[in-house]
Amino acid sequence: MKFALIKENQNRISVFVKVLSILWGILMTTPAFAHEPIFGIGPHTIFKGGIGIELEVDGSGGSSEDPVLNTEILYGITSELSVTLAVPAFFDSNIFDLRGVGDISLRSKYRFWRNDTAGTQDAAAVILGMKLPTGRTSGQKTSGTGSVDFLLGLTAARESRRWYLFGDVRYLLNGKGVDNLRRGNIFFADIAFGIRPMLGEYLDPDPVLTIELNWESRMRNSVEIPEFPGHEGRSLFLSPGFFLTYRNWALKGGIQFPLYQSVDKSLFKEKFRFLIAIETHI
Amino acid sequence: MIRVLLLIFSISVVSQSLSAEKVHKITITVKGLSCPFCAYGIEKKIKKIEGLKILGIKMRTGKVNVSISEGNPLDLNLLSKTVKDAGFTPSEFILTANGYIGMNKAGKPVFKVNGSSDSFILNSNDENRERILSIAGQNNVKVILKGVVKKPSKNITHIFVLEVKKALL
Repeated sequence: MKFALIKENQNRISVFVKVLSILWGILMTTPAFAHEPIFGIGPHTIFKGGIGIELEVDGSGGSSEDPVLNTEILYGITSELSVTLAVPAFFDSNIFDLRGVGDISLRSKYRFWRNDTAGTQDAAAVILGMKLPTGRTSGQKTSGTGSVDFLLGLTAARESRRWYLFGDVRYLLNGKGVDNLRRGNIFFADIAFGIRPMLGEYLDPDPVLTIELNWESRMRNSVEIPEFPGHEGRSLFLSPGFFLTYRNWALKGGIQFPLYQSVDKSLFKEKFRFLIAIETHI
Repeated sequence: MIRVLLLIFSISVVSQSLSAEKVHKITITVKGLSCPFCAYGIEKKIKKIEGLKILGIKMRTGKVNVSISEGNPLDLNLLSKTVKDAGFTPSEFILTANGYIGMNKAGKPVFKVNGSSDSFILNSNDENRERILSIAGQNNVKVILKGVVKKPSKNITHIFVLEVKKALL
């Protein structure tokens, strides 16, 4: 009887973890700002009083996950401080089969240092974020972890007319959620290069090509069921991407290809991850 | 009938050319302007200021050109704050404006902007100084002045004169 109960719990948690854990890091930690790395994060903030709206589709190959539609709303409190509300929506098999709205996240970014020179901006920012347990955690269609998670990050960048260089470190501190499961914390480190092949004017379409190296280190899950496997692993991704902007509209996308993956048996090895997003600032 | 139409057309052309002169122009040199998407914040915020119109944003040179219709304050402090709020650093303002040159109580030449209460203390090289002083001695001679402001001030702003000429009335 006890064994059956444990097995049932394992199955429930296993599906839950598979569906939410891999992409959750991306959803929780990547920002809504077009001229930033696709999978990493940069120090950009929106102008004071500005509103940014982003629709982003995230997915991965090789795991059982279905794509996630993430809606982000960004607001500039000052030119150096912005806040973002992120609302993910999960789908079962297609875009018309909504599984549920997931846990919403709130993030703030404070650009504490900026050095402007002709055609170049150097900047550094800190990021603080919190995920709230707003998604459904019971029934067949779960869409939340039931936990309050926190994000800490530090990023710096040099952006010039021709070249981009970004670097960041982030730490996702996961809280205890449904069934007393505390998913393993995640450490991210990213570096990104970008090049603008054509130097256009303000009202010209503006393409930028990027290449990123993304490191992830996932700690072991903490669960009360001893038989439930851990979830730790380390991955290094090579991630080509692009931005294409026109005035206040942006299209961006990228694919993460694993160069190295050391993950335990509970975490499916991924063939790739992708992200594509459209964004506007008003 | 054709004469009437020609007369209406002529009046229209003349009134357009007159109104075109009733604007002041400011070129703002902006530091940190590297991506067009980010520059949208400057456009958006400047458009919100009454009387201001964006004439163009030049990414290659980092210059933002705006016009201000006469009768609106030529508030360089506000423009400076606007660029800062957009997330950039304004480094200088090149102003081309209509107005009059007079002398203040300290005996320094002052440029009074037409259609507003704005005034600037004039600094210049020797060549322009002579010209400015000669104009300042005449009553109500309208001029077009082009000058650079490095640091706008809330009280008295100094402008370095690049060019000054009598306006054709």
